[in-house]
Amino acid sequence: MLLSRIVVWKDKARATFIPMVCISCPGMPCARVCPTGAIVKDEKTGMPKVIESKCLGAECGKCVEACPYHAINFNPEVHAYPLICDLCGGDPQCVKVCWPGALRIVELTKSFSKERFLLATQSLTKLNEVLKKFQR
Amino acid sequence: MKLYAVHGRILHVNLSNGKIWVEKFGNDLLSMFIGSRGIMARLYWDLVKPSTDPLAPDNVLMVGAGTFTGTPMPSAGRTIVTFKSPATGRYFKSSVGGDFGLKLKMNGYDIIVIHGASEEPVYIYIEGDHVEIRSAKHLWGLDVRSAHNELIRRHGVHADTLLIGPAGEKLVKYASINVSVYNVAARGGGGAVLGSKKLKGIVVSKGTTSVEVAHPKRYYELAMKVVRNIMNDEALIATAKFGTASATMGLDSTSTLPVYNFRKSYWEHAYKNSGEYYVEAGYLIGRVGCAQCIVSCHRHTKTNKFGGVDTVGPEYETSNALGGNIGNADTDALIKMNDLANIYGLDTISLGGVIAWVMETYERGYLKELVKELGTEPVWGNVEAALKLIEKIARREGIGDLLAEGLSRACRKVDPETCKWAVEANGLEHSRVDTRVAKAYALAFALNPRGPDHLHTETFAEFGFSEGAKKLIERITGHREWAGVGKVEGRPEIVKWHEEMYAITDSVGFCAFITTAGFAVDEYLMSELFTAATGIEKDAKTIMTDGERIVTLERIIQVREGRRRIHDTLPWRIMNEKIKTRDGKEYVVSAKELNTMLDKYYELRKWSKNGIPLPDKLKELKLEFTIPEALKALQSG
Repeated sequence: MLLSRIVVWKDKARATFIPMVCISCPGMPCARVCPTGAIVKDEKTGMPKVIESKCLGAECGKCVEACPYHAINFNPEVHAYPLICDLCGGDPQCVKVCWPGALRIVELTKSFSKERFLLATQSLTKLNEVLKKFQR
Repeated sequence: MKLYAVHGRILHVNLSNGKIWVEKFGNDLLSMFIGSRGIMARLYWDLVKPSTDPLAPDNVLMVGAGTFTGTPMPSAGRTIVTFKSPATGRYFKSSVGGDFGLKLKMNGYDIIVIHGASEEPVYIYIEGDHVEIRSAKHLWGLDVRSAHNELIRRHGVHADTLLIGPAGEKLVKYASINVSVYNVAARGGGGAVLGSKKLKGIVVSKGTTSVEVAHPKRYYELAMKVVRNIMNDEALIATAKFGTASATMGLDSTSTLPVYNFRKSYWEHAYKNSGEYYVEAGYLIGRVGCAQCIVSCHRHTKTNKFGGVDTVGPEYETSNALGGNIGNADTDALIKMNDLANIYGLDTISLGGVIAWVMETYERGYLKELVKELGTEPVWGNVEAALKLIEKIARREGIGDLLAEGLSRACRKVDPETCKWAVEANGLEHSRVDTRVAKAYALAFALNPRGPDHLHTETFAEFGFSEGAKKLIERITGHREWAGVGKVEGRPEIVKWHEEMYAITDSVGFCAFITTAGFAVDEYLMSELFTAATGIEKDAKTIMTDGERIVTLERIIQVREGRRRIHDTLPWRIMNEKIKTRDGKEYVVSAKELNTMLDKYYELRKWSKNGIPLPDKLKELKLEFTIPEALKALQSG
């Protein structure tokens, strides 16, 4: 359960589910803030890749804070490094179990890149609403 | 030997003296009792005396996560709640979806046991090893939704809650326990048990602990097989598309849809209570899934009527209990009633049973003074009256105080004659299927430790709705043609298999849809899964024996609490009034018919004629510790 790179945020009282996952945004803020250069771009998949041996682990956590999409999951008791979607190295397991077809493998074109960005922005807006609602 | 899949940790909290401690268990207990339901039945044997009053501090309430919960296994997020029921006065287990069990495990515990009672309202907060009893004064009186939001504001968006509503606080005998707001351990009045302990609920934090499985690679392969089986199961896909209320039209077509308080078994307006209609008419705005589930049968619904309602449900049972059962074809009103039951924390099956009884009782010339109290006549289909009754019951106001006691007690107070149409047995209102027509259901309901209820042994395959169902009936009885309603052949065998499968299903945390309504996992796959998860060797035969052990333990617990053959029965109406089906046939469960099935069933189980498990069988099942009680019961008869 703690391995999934997709984080689903929930507002249960409103039955709202907001899945957040890395969209490999062009600037890669996670890589930029990493003090040891442990996050690099995987040329094959275009996704961020964590070089585990370089990661400073729980004490750092800068990448988690830097991710605008809340898409980095860090459970220091389970793993000493952050979990970011790496598309399972090109063979994403989530797509195999998603029978309604919400998750699909799609060629990364310019127009799709734009669509994905819009979808992610929508999710982020929804998520921020929820976070605001539960702010103390 | 190392423990896999579970933590082997039971969290005990005593609300009387504030003591909190952790008890550990090992593979011996896990192997014998498989998981939550089985292990908690074993704990119940030691912790709850036969003389314990369900609403007294010495009753305990346990919440347990399944063995597969917290591992990558689809549809394995069910949580079990075990307690002595204020409705039935005996051992009771209730089952619920949502995320609570998963979060409990992610905090490092498999089971929580609540002892004692607090003097002031409290809630329990769990964050790994940090467990705290906190004041709930500011939450007492709040409905479930408001209390949840308040707690999430305090403990963060990734926390989850288990809560009671006002009905639980007021000790309504069918008050529910709500998990993740809209997932409900509804039956048996667990909400009243928490209310009596002044415990508003339990909050589990995000959680950062995980469990390992014994054979990860094998387990993953098997999990993917379960995924494929789910995706290929027509019943499960229909459930995903149209929710549990997709059952309405199937039951209507087989004349097993109880409407007007079990006086009719099919209905011209049934479609208005169906999952297909909720989608078609635009009530459905989203599908909601429990932890780990890829089916997502729960419904996110909306109506603009009644001041606007945005809620989850109604499920099939609610759609019928507060729909056709009370003559209600107004879907907007149904959604409103379901939401009220959700947030007040009421069991909709019992609630619908009670309201239908009020309507029939009124029709027959009793309770005439109710018109004044409700401001409207409680007649069939009058949703205004029903909505008022729900408010009154949840708060125990006026007539609500009597109705909150449940049918078995309320009918006796009004007039014993009215008990004839109080469709309950053993203190529990009957679930929403006509057991006169579906005979395996009849036997299962009569034997059910909970009372006449579906979510303990649902013999759904009996209907033969799908190919999987027919195959299962053939596998159990050797006769494919024995699938179908109105048939009596092979019913004891069908019930026995389902009881055992259910015990395993509940204990590992699977949803019953996976094993007995849909057919994604059978006993062969189940045993492979258990071995891959825990490292404990099982095969199909031994895992069903474990199921038998759990079923037998639950029986001997109830025997110790006074249960005998005489209690293995059904409501008066089911056994005395015939029901007419669509094709003009008439059905009833006669005493003779039930007795024949019971005799055969006791023989299969090696129980005495009076329904007491015999010492030889108890020994064979390694339940030696229960033999003295069995002997005592056999002597007293």
